[in-house]
Amino acid sequence: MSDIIDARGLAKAFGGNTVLDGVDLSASAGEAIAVVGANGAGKTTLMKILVGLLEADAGSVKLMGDDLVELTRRQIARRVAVVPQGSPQVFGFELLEFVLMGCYARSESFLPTGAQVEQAQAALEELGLARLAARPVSALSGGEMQRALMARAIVADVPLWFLDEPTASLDMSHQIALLEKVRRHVDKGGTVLAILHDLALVHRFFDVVVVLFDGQILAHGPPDEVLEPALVSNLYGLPMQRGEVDGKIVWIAK
Amino acid sequence: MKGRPLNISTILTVTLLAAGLWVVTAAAGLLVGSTDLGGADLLWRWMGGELSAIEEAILYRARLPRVIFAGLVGASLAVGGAVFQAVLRNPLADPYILGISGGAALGGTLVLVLGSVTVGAVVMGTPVGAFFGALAALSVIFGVERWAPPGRASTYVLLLTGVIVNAFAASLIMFLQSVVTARKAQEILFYLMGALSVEGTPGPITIAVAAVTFLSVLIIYRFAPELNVLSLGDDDAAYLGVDVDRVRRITVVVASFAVAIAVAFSGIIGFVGLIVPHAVRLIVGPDHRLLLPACIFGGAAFLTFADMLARGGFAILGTTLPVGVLTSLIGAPLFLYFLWRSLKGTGGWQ
Repeated sequence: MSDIIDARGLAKAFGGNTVLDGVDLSASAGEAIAVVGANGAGKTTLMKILVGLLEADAGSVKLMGDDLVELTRRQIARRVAVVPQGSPQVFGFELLEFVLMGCYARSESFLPTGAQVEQAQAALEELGLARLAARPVSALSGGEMQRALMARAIVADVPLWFLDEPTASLDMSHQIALLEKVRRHVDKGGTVLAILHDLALVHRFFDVVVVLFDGQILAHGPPDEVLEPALVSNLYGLPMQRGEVDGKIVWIAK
Repeated sequence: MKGRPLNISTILTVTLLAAGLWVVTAAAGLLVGSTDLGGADLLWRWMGGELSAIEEAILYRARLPRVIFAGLVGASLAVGGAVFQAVLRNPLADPYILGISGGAALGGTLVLVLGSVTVGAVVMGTPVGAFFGALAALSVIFGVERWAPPGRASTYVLLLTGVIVNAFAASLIMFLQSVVTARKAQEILFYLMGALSVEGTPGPITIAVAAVTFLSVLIIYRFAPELNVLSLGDDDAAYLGVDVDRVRRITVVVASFAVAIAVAFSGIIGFVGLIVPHAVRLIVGPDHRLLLPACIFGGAAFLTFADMLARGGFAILGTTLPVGVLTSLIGAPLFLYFLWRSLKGTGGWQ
C-alpha cells in the first residue's frame, strides 16, 4: 500500500544536465524512508519535486491519492511539513513567532489562537528550545535553527514530514533525540522522508532506504539488507567497511 | 513581542498610540506655517469662531490640505516600504524601488515642460502627469516580469527592471532640463525635490485619494500573515502554504498603486518609505499584523511633522523648504544609525 507518496518516472534536468532520470518512489503510512547518496546525486531536487517546489520534466507525483499538480500550496502544506537545511533570516522574528508560522496552512484565524500557542510552546519544550522563545531567530546557532525548523514542522500537525539533512548541524545527543521524535511520529502512523548522510542512523531509525546514484535509484529496501559494503563503497567512491557494536551497525571509511 | 504571542489588545494599543501621535502632529501642523498666524491664540480664536476671512483661507485652503496630504502620502509611503521590504526580503527596499519615482517624476516633468492640458473642467496638471508616469513605469516592470519563469527569478527581475526604469527616467528628465529655459529648469528642479504643493486641491479629489489610500491599506493588511511568512523567503513561504507569486503580485500592485497616487500629489519624497518601517520595526518587531498599522500612522505622523518643519522652521532664512529635502536630511543619518545598530546587535533587521 503506497498511499501516502506515489511518484513515478520522475525526470529533471537543469540546462541539459540530467539530475533525476526515471525515479519511482512510494511511501505508506507508518513508514520512515531515508534517501542516501553522494553530493549532487539529486536528493534535494527529488524532495523539492515531491513537495511541488520544482516541476519535474517528466513523471507524476501523487500525495495521499491526489495529483500534486491539482493541489494548491496551502493544500500541500496541510499534508507535508518540510524541514529545509536552513532558513537564513533577514528580519528578527522571535523564535515563538517563527514556530507559530508552522500553523499558517491549517489556521483559519488572523491571529494565533490559544491552542496554537500552546502547541508551539510544547514543541519548543520538546526540542529543548523553550528558554529561547523570545530570542530572534537570526541569533540562533545552526543547531538551534535546525531544531527550530523541526519544531515548526511539528506544529504544522501533518502526517507527512520531509526532512533535508535534519541532523547536519546537531551534536550526537540532539541527533538521537531528533530521530527518536521522527520514530515516534512514524510509530503513530506518520510518514517521514529524510535525506541523511550518516548510515548508522539510517540503520537504526529507518524502515526503508532509497539509494540515489547519478539521478537514478540504485537500490531500495530495508537498510540492513540494502546497504552492504560493495554498494556503499561504490556509492561514495571510497572503500567502506560495515561493522557492528552492541547489535548496532556502524560504517567506517577504510 | 518578547516571547508573548500577538493578541488583539496589543494591536489596538499600538495602533491607538500611533494614531494619537499622528493626531498631535496634525494639530501642530495646522498651527504652524510660513505666516505668523499660529499658536495657542489661533486655537482659541478658532474655537470661538473669531477667525477673519484671510485666516480661514490660510487655515482651510493652505494648511489643512497639506496636513491631510502629508498624512495620506506618509502612510502610503511607509506601508509601501514595509510591503516591498517583506516581499523582496530586502531591508533596503523602498516603495520607489520598482521605478515608480522615476515614472512619476518624468510624467510630472513632461507636464511642466509641455504645459498642462484642460479636459472639460479638469486641469491635467503635474499630479495627473505623475500618476500616469508611475503607472507607465509599473506596467513596464510587470510586463517584463511576465516573461520571467515563476518563482525566485521574478524578485530579481522586478528589482533590476526597477533600477533600469528609474535610471532611464532620470536621463530623460536631465535631457528635458537641458533643453528648456533656465527658469523652467529651476521650476522642474523644485518640483523634483518633493514639495507637497497641494494648496487648493478640490475637496472631492482629496476624499477620493483618502478613500483609495484607505482601501489599499486595508487590502494589504488582509495579507499581513502572508507577508510574515513571505519575509522568511520564497521557498520557506511555499513550504508553509503561501502562494508566493499570487501574494507578491497582489501586495506589490496594490502598494504601488497607492504610492503612485501619493507621489502624484507630493512629488518624490525620499526616505519616508525606508526609514519609517525600520524605526517602527525596532519598536514593535517585524510582525506585519502590528507593523502595518503602526507604519500607517507612524508614516503619516513623520511626514506631517517634516512638512510642518519645512513650512515653519526656516522662517529665519525667509523661506520654506521642499519637504523632500528635509526628509532626506533627517532620513539619511537616521538610516546610518539603524544600520550601525543592527550590525552591532544580534543580527537581523528588527
